[in-house]
Amino acid sequence: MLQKILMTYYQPLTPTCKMKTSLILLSVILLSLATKAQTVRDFSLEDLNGEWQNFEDIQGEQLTLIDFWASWCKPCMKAMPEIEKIHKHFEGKGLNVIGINTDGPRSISKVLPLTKALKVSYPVLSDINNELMQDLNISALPTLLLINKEGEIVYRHEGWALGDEAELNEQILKYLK
Amino acid sequence: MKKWFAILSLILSPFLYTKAQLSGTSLMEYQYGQLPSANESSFNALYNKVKLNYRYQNLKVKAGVQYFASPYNDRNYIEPAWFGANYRNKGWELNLGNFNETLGRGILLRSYEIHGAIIEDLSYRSKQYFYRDMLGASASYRGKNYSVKTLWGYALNNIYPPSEGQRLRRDDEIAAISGDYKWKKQTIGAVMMRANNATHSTNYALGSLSGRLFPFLNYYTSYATSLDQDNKAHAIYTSLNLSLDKMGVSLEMKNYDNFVIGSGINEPPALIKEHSYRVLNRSTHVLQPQNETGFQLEAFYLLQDKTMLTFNYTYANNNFGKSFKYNELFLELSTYISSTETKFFVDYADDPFKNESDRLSAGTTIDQAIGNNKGLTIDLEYQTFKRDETSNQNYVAGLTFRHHSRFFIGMLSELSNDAFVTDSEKLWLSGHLKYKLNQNHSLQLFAGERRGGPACSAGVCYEVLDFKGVELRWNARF
Repeated sequence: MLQKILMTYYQPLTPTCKMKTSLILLSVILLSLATKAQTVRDFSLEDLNGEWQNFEDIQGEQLTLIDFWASWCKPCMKAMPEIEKIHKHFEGKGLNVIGINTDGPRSISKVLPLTKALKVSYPVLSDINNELMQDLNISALPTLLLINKEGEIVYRHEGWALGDEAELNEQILKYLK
Repeated sequence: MKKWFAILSLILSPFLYTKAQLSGTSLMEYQYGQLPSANESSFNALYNKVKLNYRYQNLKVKAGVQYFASPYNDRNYIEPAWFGANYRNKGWELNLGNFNETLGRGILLRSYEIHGAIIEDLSYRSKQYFYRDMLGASASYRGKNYSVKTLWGYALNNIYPPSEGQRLRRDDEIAAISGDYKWKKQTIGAVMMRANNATHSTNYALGSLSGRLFPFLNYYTSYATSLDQDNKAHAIYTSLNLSLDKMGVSLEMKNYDNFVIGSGINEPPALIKEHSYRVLNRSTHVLQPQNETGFQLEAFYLLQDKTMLTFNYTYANNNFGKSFKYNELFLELSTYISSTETKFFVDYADDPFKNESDRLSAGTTIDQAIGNNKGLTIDLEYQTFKRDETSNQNYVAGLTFRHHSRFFIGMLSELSNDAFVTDSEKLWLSGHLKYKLNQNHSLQLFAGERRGGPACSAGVCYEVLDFKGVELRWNARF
């Protein structure tokens, strides 16, 4: 069945196209096998009051949870109260939470009043140029990263649905020794 | 093929044993289908972009490629892209090659990358990733209370696909220097920029002031102007943010006149709400920086835990000899009823630019949890407006089932009798499926007919073409 579907769509492609497809597929598979867990290099971003913050200064003793979000992203709004609960629960227990807001110039003005209304108490930094997003290969919002003290991304979660908080808590406890 | 395999293996093997790091992303989209409005039969098309990052201590080197393959040779291309190096150390940051830069909140220059957006233009019918970056060099230094930056390069004009060549795509040469100084929670900033292309060159200056006046009040204001007497232009943008207990307010004002730089490399703040609801996202007012004044007021109020009220009022006035006044009022309630998350919205707008009056939109999103790890989402939206005394309606109905946030399956139907879109009542029906294999790979399948039109994502608007057929996407990270 699978072979039949593949042949139906693969056969009409030109020989050059077939070669390109095969090469790219092969490269991606090889790279997937060859690369190790990505690490975070130190970064500096402005917080919502315009003060510069370094990752090294605000990361957790054992683990850091980074939440990439934007004001126009519906699932991000759903996740934020749950992340605030995690922040409150694990505060002082080795885990720090950092919010990275990715709003561009169009909506950046709404970010501070929104976080205040949502009672977000963890630090929120602005990645207005989306440089950190690119650095860490973020391709969906929200994306949650768990980073260990060596700077390795040990867990990555994209999107948010009701019930995801249980999985996130489980992962935090797994890596929080 | 064996030769390529050997070369790739040779290239990749050192990364297994060194402290240097290789990472990257790939987005591949395969389509079999057609534009319903075009006189053509269905065909196979493949788009792919791959980006690679190599990092060693403070140095990052990147490279990428995007290509499009179809039965039509004039649409096909293979383009090396996203090449560059970035070095960061002790306040210094250096970029060489492709890099992103935004100056003066987008008033002078705006780079962006809209994740997952692959655009196709009706004229060229070639696909490309939706982004705008710079090709050149930049250097910046940040001290305790100040920062300075200088840059030079060519901005990407993404109206032209890669099949049209680099000369057309990078016609705008930019040189700029900027700096800011912080003093007692206030920041003063200045930018000087020269934009040069085949038709003319213009110098611009921008001054900005931002900071916190009280613990509950922040502000940002900027004024930009052209320095050339024969090409007068200005842009004024101001925002105030008020935070009072459970309430947050954002008030923004704009006054733009003749402020389109080069081929449109800038994107001043639009002050138009970016909606995630389909009927509203499609109906957005697109900013006209040639001449636009107006303001936007948005307020959030947390009624109780997880219950939020959002209010937005937008006013925009375009004066092109004749005045076009855009008004929009939006209200949304987001709350939980037991384990069901619900959102209700109502929106009223007058849009003389699109010749749409008394535009009323309303809808709901209901997200029902089923047990601990399953759920059902229902979207219902309705819109009605008048155009030349004719009444037009749009309907949206969607249903999605999910298992964890790993597997999604659903269907979407849209119905419209909008005379600008269809001669008679038309139904768009589609099914979609998403499966996340693991943390690094996900597959998305679409089958059916997709309604096109304007779309806005991450603050940038673009045009989506209609499509009828099958589409498969593979997102990979490594």
